[in-house]
Amino acid sequence: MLFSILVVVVNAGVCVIYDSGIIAKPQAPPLILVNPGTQGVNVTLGANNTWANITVKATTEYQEITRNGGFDTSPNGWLYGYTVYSGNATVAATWNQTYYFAPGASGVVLLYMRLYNPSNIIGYVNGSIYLVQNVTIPNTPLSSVTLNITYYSTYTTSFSTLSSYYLFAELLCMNGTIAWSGLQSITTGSWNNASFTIPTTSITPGETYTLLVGARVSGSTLNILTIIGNLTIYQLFDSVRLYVEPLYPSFSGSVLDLNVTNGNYSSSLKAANLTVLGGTNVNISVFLANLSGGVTTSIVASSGLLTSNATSEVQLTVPPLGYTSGYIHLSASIYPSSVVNMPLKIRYSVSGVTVTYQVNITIIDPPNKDIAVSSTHNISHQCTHVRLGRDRSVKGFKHLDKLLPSILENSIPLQRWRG
Amino acid sequence: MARLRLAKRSAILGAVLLLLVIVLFLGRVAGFPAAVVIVSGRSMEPTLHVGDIVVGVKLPYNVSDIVIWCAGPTYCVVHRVVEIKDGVIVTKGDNNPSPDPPVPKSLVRYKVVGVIRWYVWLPAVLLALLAYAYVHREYFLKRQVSPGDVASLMVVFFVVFNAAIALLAPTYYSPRGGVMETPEVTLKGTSVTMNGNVLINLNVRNTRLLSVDSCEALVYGEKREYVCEAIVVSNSQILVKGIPKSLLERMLEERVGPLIIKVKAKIVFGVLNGIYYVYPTWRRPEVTITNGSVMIINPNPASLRVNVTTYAANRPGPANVSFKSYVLEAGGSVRIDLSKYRYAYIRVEYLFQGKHVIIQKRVRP
Repeated sequence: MLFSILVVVVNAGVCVIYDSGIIAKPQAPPLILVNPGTQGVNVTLGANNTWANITVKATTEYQEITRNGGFDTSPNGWLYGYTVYSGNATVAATWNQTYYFAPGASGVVLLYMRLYNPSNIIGYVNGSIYLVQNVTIPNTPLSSVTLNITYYSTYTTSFSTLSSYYLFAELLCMNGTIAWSGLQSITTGSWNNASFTIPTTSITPGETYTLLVGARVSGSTLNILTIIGNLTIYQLFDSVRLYVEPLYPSFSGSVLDLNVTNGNYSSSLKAANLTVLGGTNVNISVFLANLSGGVTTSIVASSGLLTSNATSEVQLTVPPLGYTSGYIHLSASIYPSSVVNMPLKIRYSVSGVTVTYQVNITIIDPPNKDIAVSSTHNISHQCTHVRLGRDRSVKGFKHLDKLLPSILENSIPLQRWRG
Repeated sequence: MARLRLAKRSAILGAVLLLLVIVLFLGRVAGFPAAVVIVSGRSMEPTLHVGDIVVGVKLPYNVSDIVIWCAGPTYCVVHRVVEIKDGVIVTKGDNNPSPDPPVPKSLVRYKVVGVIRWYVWLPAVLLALLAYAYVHREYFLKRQVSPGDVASLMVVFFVVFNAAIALLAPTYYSPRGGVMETPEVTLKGTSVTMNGNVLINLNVRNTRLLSVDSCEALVYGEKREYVCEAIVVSNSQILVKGIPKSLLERMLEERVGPLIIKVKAKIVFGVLNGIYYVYPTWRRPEVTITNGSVMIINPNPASLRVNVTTYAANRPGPANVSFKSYVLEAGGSVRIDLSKYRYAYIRVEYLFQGKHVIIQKRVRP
C-alpha cells in the first residue's frame, strides 16, 4: 500500500506519518538551528533546536557587519584565499586560541604563505593571502564605513630578498570588480591596529560585497642546485571588523546559524508574510548562505512590501571543525520606531520528506526596549498608544502581542502611555 | 651566380628577422625606447587577447593606462594601472577579480600605445614563412643550409614557441583557498607507568605536537606544584617524567588525588595549554603463600610500606614473633621464607587508600 507523506511544521523532530495512522517514527533532526551570538540579536530556540524566535535590534549606532570579526572561539564565517602572481607557493590557514610566536591575543587566525621559485636562478615571487567573507551593506544611506584590523605580521627569508610587503583590504562586487581597495605598509613583529576609512560613495547600500583582508608580498628568491630560496610570511589576525554607521535604524548580519549533523541538504527560505508597524520605509533582504560562501537568492521587502518571498536553494553540509553549515543573513533598514515581523520557513528534504522549520524574525528600533511587555499582559486590549521611546509613539496597534513574540517571552515590565 | 644572389638575399632577410627577434626578446631588457611583447594570458580580456602583440613606448602614464612592468628578464606583466601612490603602482588585469600586488614604479618599462591582434600578425608571419620556404624549397630539399636558413628556422622556432606559450598559458592564478583548519587536541586517556611516569594519550587533529615548554604536577586540592619534565614521544603522546615519588606514594597510601598534570606545549604554530587529571589504578598488594614461603607483591607504580609480623614455631606452644617493615618499590616484591618452621602465621599491615589494611594468614602447616 502506498503511503502518503505528511509535511509538518517540525517543532520537536522529524515525523514521518503513514496513512495507517498508527506508526509515527520520530528521528533526530539532521539539521539544527544554532544561536550565532550576533550582537543585537536575541535568539530563543525551541525544542530540539528546530524552531526559533529572533528579535533583531536595528540601530543607527556604529555597528559591525562582519560575522565573527573577533575569531574568538573559531574561524566560523571566514574563508581564506590566496593568489600567486609569480612563483610557486605553499600555504596554510589555521585558527588557534593563541600562537607561541605572537602572544598577547586570543582567538587568532594565521595565514601562512611560503613563496619560492621552482626554476629561475633568480626568480621573482609575488603573492597574496587573505581572509574572505561576504558582507552585506545595510540598505540605507551611511554616515561612515570603517574597517578595523588587528594584525601581527612576521616573515622569514631564506636565500631571498623582500621587496614589498603590504596589508591590503578590498571590497569586491559580486561580479568580481573592485568597489574599494586599501593598502598600508605592514609593521612587523608586534600586534598592530590598522584602520581603513572607506568612502561611502564607493559602496552601494543593500549590496553584498566580498571583503578581502590580507597581506601581499613580493621579492626575489635564489634557486641554484640544492639551494631553493623562499620567502615566507606569517600573517595573523586577531580581529577584522567592518563597521557602518547608518542614517536609519539598520541591521546587517547573521541572525541564525544552521548546523547539519549528517548528510547534505538543499535548503531554502520562504517568507510567509511581512507585517510592518510604523513607517513603511522598510527594506529587508534575507538569504541563506553556506560555509563555502554559496548564497541563495534573497527574500526582498521594499518599502514595506514583500517583492520576493522565497529564496533559491543552497547546499548545506556537515561543517568542518569550528564552522557551522550555514546561516541566515538579514539585512534590514526600518523607519524609526517601527516594528517589523517576518515569519520564515526553512525548508529541506529528508528521504523525500520536506521538513519545515519555523523561524520568526522581529526587527525593532532600539527605543522599543522601553516597551518590552510582560507576558502576563494582553496589550492588544489594554493599549491604544504604545510609547516607543522618549518622544516617539505609534498609535492604534491592536495585535502587538502577535508581532512581538520574542519580546513577550521577556518579563520586562510593560510601560504604557495613556495620552 | 644566381645562387649566390639568392644566398645573399637569404642572409639579409635572416639578419632582419634576427634583429626583429632581438627587439622582441631583448628590447624591454636592454631598455630600448620601445619594445613589443606578446600577450600570454587572458587576464586583460576583452582589451587584450592571448597572442596579441602590444607595443610599448617609454612614455609617462596615468591611472587607467595599460603599462608593461617587468620584474625580471623573463617576467613582464601587461596590466592596467589602477592606483599610483608612494613610489608604487597597483595594476590589475581587466579580467582579474583583484589587483596585482603593488610594485615599485621603477619596474614600469613602457606604456602600451598600440596592439597588433593575433589574427593579423600570426597568419601573416606564417604565410610569409610558408612563402619563404616555398621559394627556397630547392635549398631545403638539397639540404643546402645557409645562414639565412638558420635565421629562418630560429624565427619559426620563435613563432611556434610563443604561439604555444600563448595558447597553453594559464589565464591567471585564480584565487584559491578554503576553510581554515581548527586544531583539536583532546584527551584520549592517561596511564601511569611502573616507573612512575605518566603517559598522556591525545587525539590530535589538524595540528602536530612539537614540544613541551613547561610541566607542573600537583595533587588535587593542594597548592604546592612540582616541576616535571615532559617530552613529546609521538604526535599523540606526551610522556611526563620526574613526578616526585612522594606524590604517588601519598596517593597510594592516603585517599588523595587525582594527580593533576599541567603542560604547556607547542603545536604547529599554536600553543596547547593542557590540564590533565590522572587517576592511577591502585591495586592492593598480593600476598601469596607457596610451600611455606610468603610472597608480597606491590603491583602499583608507587612504593608502599608494608609491616610484616611472623609467628613461627616448631612445636605447639610459645612462638617466635618477628616484626619487620619493608618498603616495596613500584612493582617490587618481598619473599619471606617460613618453611623451616612447622607452624607459621603471618600478619601483613599496610595503608591503602586511607585504610589500614591487615591480612593474617596461616603459612604452615
